[in-house]
Amino acid sequence: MAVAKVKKAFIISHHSIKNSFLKELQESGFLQVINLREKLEEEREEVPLEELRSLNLTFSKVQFIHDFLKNFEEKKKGLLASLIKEKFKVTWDEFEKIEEKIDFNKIYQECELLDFNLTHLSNQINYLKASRENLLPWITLKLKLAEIKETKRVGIILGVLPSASLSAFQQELEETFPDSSLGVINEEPQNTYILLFYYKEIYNDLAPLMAKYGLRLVSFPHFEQTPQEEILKIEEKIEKLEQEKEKLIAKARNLLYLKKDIIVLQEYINSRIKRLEVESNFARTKETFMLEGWVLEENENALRQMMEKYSHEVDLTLLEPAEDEKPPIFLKNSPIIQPFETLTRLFGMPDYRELDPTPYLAPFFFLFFGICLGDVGYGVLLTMACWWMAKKLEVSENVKRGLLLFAYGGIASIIVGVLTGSYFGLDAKYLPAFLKRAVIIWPLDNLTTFLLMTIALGIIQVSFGIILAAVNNIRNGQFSKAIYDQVTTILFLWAALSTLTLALTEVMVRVTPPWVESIFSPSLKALGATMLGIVFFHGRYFNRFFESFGNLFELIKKKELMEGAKKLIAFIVSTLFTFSVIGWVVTFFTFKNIHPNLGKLILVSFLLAFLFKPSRQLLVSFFSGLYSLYNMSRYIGNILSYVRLLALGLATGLIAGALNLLVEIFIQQTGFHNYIFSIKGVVVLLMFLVLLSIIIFFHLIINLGMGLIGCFVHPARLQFVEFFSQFYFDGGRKFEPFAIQTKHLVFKE
Amino acid sequence: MKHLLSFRQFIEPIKYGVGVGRVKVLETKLLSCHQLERLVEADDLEEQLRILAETGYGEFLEDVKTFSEVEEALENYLKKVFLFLSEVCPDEKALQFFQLKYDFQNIKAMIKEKYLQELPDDPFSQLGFLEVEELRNLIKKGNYQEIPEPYKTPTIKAIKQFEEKNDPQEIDIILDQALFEELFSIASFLKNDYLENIVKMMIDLANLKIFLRAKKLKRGRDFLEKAFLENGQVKKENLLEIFHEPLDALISLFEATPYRKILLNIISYGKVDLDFFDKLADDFILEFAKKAKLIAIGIEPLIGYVIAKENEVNILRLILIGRIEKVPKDKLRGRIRELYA
Amino acid sequence: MESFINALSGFHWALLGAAAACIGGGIGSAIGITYIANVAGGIITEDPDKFGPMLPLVGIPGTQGIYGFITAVLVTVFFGLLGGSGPKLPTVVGFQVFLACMPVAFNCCVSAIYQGLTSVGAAPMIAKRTEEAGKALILPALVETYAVLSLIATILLLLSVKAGMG
Repeated sequence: MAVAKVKKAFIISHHSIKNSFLKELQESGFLQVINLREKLEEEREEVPLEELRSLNLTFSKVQFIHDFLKNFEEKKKGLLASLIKEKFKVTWDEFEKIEEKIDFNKIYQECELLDFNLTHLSNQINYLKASRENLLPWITLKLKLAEIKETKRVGIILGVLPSASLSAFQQELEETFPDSSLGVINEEPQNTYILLFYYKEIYNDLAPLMAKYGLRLVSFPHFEQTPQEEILKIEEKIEKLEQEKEKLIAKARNLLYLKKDIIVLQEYINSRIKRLEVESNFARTKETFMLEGWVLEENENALRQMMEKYSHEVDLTLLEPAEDEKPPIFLKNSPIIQPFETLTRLFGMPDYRELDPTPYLAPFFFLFFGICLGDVGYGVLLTMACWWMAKKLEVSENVKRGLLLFAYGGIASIIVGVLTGSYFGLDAKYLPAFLKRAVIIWPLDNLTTFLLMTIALGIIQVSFGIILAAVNNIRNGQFSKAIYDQVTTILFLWAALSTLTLALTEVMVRVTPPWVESIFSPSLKALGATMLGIVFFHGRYFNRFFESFGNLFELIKKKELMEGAKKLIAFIVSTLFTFSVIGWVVTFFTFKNIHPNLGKLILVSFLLAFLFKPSRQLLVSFFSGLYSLYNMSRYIGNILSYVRLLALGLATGLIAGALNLLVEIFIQQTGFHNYIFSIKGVVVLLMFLVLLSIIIFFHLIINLGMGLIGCFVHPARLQFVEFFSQFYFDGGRKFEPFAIQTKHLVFKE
Repeated sequence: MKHLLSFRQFIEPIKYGVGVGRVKVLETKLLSCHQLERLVEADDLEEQLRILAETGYGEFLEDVKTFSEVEEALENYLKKVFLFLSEVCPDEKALQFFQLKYDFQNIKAMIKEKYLQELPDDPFSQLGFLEVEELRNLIKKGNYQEIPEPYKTPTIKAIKQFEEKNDPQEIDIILDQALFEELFSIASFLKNDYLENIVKMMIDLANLKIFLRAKKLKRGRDFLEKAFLENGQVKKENLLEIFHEPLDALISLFEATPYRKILLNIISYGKVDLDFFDKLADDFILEFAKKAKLIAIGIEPLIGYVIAKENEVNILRLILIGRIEKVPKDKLRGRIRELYA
Repeated sequence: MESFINALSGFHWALLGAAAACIGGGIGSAIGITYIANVAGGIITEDPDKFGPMLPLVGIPGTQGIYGFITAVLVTVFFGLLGGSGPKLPTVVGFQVFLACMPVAFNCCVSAIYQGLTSVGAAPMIAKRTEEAGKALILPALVETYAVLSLIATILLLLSVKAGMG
């Protein structure tokens, strides 16, 4: 249950069978093809460009049909539909023979014609609408537009004037050109539409006046009748065109039954394009082509079997992946924990030689999600909804896994809800006695206990993470590393925690029980010992120590006395320093008086070691150990981070409780259950039902919906930041076989 | 980091949020190297158009056949990009930043058209802020007063200088200077380091080009004094000082600046090859513009996107017109600029 | 100080604390969601398919508002404000309740705003690669830690105030 083993396959094959061979390979989906072109400078297999080009063209045509038809679909309403894409079921045979089934070129031409006509119609309609808009302000003008022509002496103007300058314009016109006449056709807040008669000889003086007040001239050369009649005519035309458009749309709708076929065709063409494109990864000789790829060990035999048919033309070699290679990752877990792979994939695939963290995070995530949601009612709803969607909707594997993960979360939430007595946040007094008996902790009454429980969970998971790091090291044959790094850390962690707990109990509890006293001192001693362990093992002090000891012997053997003497002094100085530090720690943690000279000894030996160059190396590893001791403080943050479970767990329950409280207050205040059968009672009952539905809405949308984001994100974060940081480094790539990959199709037998 | 605590960061998500969101999606739809490679490899215009049909260019490039139709289609496309910018960017000046150069280009060509009866090489660009025909009429009739600022003053000045000295180069010099001054003032008006840096780079590169061209044509110092642009990172005075020294002095002046790489590409064995200067300069600015992708919110991604689009359109023009004129594929490839993606 | 505390009755202090927590969280969440919703709006304009993956990211800065609300509910429940025992609350206790509400009032406000900004930074990840939506969600969730801690602090403080009342 972990990262699946893969093998590397080399295939050399004759050109003659290329097409059928590749087709079969694609259908089997066993092989992830490696790009040989990057590795070898050999001549690469030429992709048949002509064929690819024509396929691409077909593909874009099919795409066009698809997009065109999409415009006429009934829009699916609702959040659910936009979140989850439905898929079509198709048999293998239908898929293969789709090209024969539909006359694709005919459909394309039909769609193209429809599209062209529709755009044309829409443009016409828009044009007509725009001219109607232009005419609309003039509707009160009773003149025929064709008749608005200047006579020999009199000019006539239609114009638009900013309403603000109307009166000023009128006045000035009156004063300067009393003979001209101005008629206001329509006055709107912004613009005023006017008709102006004038004698032609004054035009040159009139023009600047018009410019001054911002009069815009308007003319309607294409219209003859009065504006009202013209508008009616236009509206008639628009209606006619709209009807035509409706007809075309109906025609297009008639084509909708082809949607499934079109999608199948699209996917089919796509798979053929993929088959051609994969060839660019191959190397070639005159007679043969060569490809390289990864195959899952479990598919090895199937692959061999498939090749048997071609035993004359194809040569297959399978090899274990080399040390420096990075094979692709295929996660293999039992179906029960498969949904939790969602989290692993989210963070990043493991390296080929690493543990798959999925089974280890699964129980924790399950529990944490349960604590965060922590309500039977919500849990039941969530489980049912997700289960239903995962089973009924045709969704991709990834989405299905995600849905099942949430369904699991719902189950966890039911369990936690029963144990904490939370049913839609109902107040405890409404719960029947047998449910109350199942409760082991009432969170609101025992907040401190709850808090300590979450911290305990943190300690457990963090320790588990460190153990996994050790396991990982041992698996990779680094036994000493597991001891040096992880074992010391975990011992230190437990010693520190027990000391801290005991110390806190002593401070907080007024009368300390004697057993606390009795184990405090050993625990403190253990803490001291593990601290030394961290300092010396994490810094690899002893390794260096013995190394330099060995060096010393070498030098003496070779009779390089000068060097040897230096080493010896360095050795003595640093040993002095080390032992004085150890001595200091030991005396400190056993509560005896520290010898006053010990501090001086540390200082002097430190200075000596620092000043004497050859001994600095040991000093460095000592300080790097010290630094890693300081680094242990991050575990405080890591463990305290688990307290968030408490906050999130309370949040759902409290909000639900507050919502219920509103209902309760309503019943109490109106007291309508006393007079339920009177008219007033019915009115209040109706009000109550409205309130109830609002409350239920809030329960579902606000509390459950918003809560779910938190209930997923925070437990996930605890896995990623607090748990994974102990042992897990991603860096693997997903196993992506050369196969028929369809976005919208599901194959059935 | 300096604006980690400034008030600006609390306003920007509201001001530019929608625009940045849209740009982040649109960035994924920029042409990829792969697509460009296919375009270069394509045998004729028809095939190129088929490749482009899947992209946003499809609707603009339908049925284009000639050189000028391609130009027009691409200009229309860029117009749509500008429209997008004006839609999503609440700072009007940002759009002007891109439009200015087309306006000044037009004004230059129009003045030359009027006084020298030179027909412009390219048709007037419709991408500017000013209406082309209107502007042309105003200049033709001499109604310079009616040209809006910031174009009025430099236009009048350029014409006056030209009439005095009768040297068409005066027009270019004065209008170029006005252009870059205006760009700089927009950048400082928006108080944006990114934009300011881009303008400074443009100025430096323009100065560098002036310098190298003058060197090649053996121009005098007074010419340079007039022609050099202000506000660059490299001071005008420093450039003037080394004008009479050998080219190595130029390289050592630019030693510590990022332009060094360009210079080393341009100058080899004491000779200057200006053919590739424009390509290198564009690449250089684009390289900087790419930094906008790392900025989560602000005007930068919007500006960066438009720069990328301008660049993309330039590349497309090269490729499409190159195919119409049957330029060899390898030569075409060399001319293609870097991509924003 | 004495006169400052006595300026309000215990009941009023407690109400002020509860209200402050609710207001702080609410303001922060509203601003934070506005930030990310703006960007999400832009992304969805160009690519409506991104609605699903964007939704959790937009919802994330909303939790602080809920924490503020929880604090207000806890104050009312613990000190019987609903049951009518509010006016009997001693002034000192009321003031303590007010102080206990402060972590949520301030921390949730500020952290929600910054969480909104962080989400804005994470949104392009979803715009470019939908399959990375989960990673984009984790980054802003790191900011939330401090809102959660402040809620825990407030709860513990309220508990200790209640314990002090006897």
